[in-house]
Amino acid sequence: MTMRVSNQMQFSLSIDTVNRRRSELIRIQEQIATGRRINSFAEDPVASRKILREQGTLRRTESWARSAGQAQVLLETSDSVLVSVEDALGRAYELTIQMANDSYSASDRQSAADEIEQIRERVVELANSERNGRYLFSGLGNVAQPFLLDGTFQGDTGRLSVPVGRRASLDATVGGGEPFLDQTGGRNTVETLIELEDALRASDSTRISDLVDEVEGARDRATDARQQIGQRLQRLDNIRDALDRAEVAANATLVQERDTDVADAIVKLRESETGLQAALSITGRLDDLSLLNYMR
Amino acid sequence: MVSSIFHIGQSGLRAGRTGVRVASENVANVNTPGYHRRVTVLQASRLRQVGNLRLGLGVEVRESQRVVDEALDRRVRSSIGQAAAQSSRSDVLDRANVILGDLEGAGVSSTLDEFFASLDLLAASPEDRVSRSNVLASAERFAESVNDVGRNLRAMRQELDPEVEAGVDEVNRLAAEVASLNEKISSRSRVSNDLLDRRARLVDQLSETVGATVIPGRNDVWNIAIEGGYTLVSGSQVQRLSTRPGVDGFVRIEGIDGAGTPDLTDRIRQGQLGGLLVARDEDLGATAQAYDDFVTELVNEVNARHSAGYGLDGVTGRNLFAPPAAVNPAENLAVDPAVAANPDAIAAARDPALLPGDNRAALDLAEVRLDPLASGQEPPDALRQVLQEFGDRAFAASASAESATLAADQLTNLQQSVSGVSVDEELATLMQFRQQFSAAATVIQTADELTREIIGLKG
Repeated sequence: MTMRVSNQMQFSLSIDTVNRRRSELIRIQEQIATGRRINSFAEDPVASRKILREQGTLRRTESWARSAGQAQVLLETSDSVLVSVEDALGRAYELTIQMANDSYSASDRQSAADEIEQIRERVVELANSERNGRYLFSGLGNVAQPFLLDGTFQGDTGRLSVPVGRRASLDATVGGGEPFLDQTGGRNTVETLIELEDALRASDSTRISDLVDEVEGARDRATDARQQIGQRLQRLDNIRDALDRAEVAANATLVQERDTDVADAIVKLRESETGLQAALSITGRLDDLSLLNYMR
Repeated sequence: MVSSIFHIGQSGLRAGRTGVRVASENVANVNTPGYHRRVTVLQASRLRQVGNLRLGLGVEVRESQRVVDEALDRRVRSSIGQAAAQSSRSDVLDRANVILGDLEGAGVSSTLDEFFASLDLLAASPEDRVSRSNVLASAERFAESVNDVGRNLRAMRQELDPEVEAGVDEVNRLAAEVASLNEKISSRSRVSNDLLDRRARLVDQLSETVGATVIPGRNDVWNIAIEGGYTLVSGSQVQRLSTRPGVDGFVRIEGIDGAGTPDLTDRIRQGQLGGLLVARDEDLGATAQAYDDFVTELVNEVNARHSAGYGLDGVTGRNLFAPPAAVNPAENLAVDPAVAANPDAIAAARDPALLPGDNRAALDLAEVRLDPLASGQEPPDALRQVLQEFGDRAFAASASAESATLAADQLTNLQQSVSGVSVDEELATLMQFRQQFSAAATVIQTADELTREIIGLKG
């Protein structure tokens, strides 16, 4: 059955078609011009959510990378401080071995004692190093400088832990006093040096020989701590790699979900233009197709 | 005998003239909305016995009939109501989109991320004044962006009040006109096509405004009901709608009937008015509620952890944000005044003996972002869920607006196909009746000649 076609019907149909084509065209033009496939939640709720999630991932990754950077600064500074501590205690160890030998006189030992005193001052100074307002070896509380010249430890044994990932944290410091304290409850490094200085001043060979192992132990604690820091810096590298990878992945998803595929959009633009031209030419012809044109 | 030929010719002239007139009227109304084309209905006149023959006396013009398919008109009317509802809903949600749907990194989603990032920074250097001030600044920015969204959502809904009121006025105006046309139509003995067209057009407009159903009554009266069974027009009577402020501050619509003044706000779901109400109460209402819930839950969690920690000054038990308000918590969110001016009050430590270096409370706070809220989602994801649900609504509204408009267009086309004017057709009809007119004139001329013949015979 043929359908009656009224004039209103014909015109409104072609106007609707033209309008629809035009809005389609404008949308594609906007996508190309802005480089964004979607601009709001209403256009594609699922993709929009992904976009926000990836933006969140990027910001979070950036924040963790910044914490990791701070941890790195603290760890690297601790390491270089401990290198100096190692050197100083190495010298103390040499002196101890040397002075344990009976061939040295009391005056030799006296000057050795002076040097040990300087070493102690140097070690205390190093142990009290700070970076960015934090004592490297005073533990978590950072209440006061960790060591006094008499060997009193004023810190705590905690560590500063910083967030570097999803439920992942990294210790940015060694345990408070750890490179200097004896884990079995014996003398700490500063006290050992005081004891050594005393023994030297007393020129007591037996006491000096007895201290050889202890001084070596003090130096080894610094070495052990450096090793621990080295491992942690290694882990930090891995963490940073992982954060970088997460950033790259998030950026890739972001581009895919958010950005216009220009090649694809241009093909669509062509299609849409052709459609609009067709709709316009049909509308233009409506006028010719009337009985009026065939009446005298 | 000859006089009857005159008579017949005359009836043909009349028919031709009427036909041309009707066709002209159709052509004149080719673009008139709501116009139903007319057709001239002709009928051969009754036969008469003339000698041995039964002969007619010409043609009778029965009527100029309005071409209408009532069932189709009814479907068109309801589709208009649906399309209008979906379009106005979608328009409102498109506007709200701007408030919520920022994808370029601004907005609450980013201030929330930055707030947590500032806590990461605090955890890395709890003794640092700069990182503390940074937490305060980020918390304030987060609160402000939350305020903006809360405020704009409410303003958006509030701004619909005048539109709702205007819609109600429009309904009352249209209803009054329909009632008065009902009265005119029922009081006439003959049906007037133009009154019927006008009334049908008004009811279409009523349907576009509020969604209207026609219940035909006696004497061609149309009673009008809106959704939920509320009778708006009954014969020549109108039960007007009115508005009043609601308890939540948004305008409500009520009717009037024998029993009182029923609240119709939740029943009106068709037409522009229905679309506005759905957008305001269901879509934006749900979004605002979800948003408020999210803010309340998040802030309570942050506060619980913050108040367990110690500030640099050794004081514990302080909230970071002022406890969320019971009403409009998003709009009223603020950093707690006790903390706002005092970076030392930020609680980063778990153990007051380990001040200032203890960062464990700060770590706890930063972990809020990873700990699921009651919805089972981590806070940033819970926020995105709120946004996505809104996006889903806006997306669905726009899709159904498109399809409802398409359906309405298709039905309107069908209706046009039945009742619309085709100029080509009318031009053909015009020629047809003009020919009839010429032919009838020839008949009269012939009758005249016959008469002359007879007169000549006598003479």
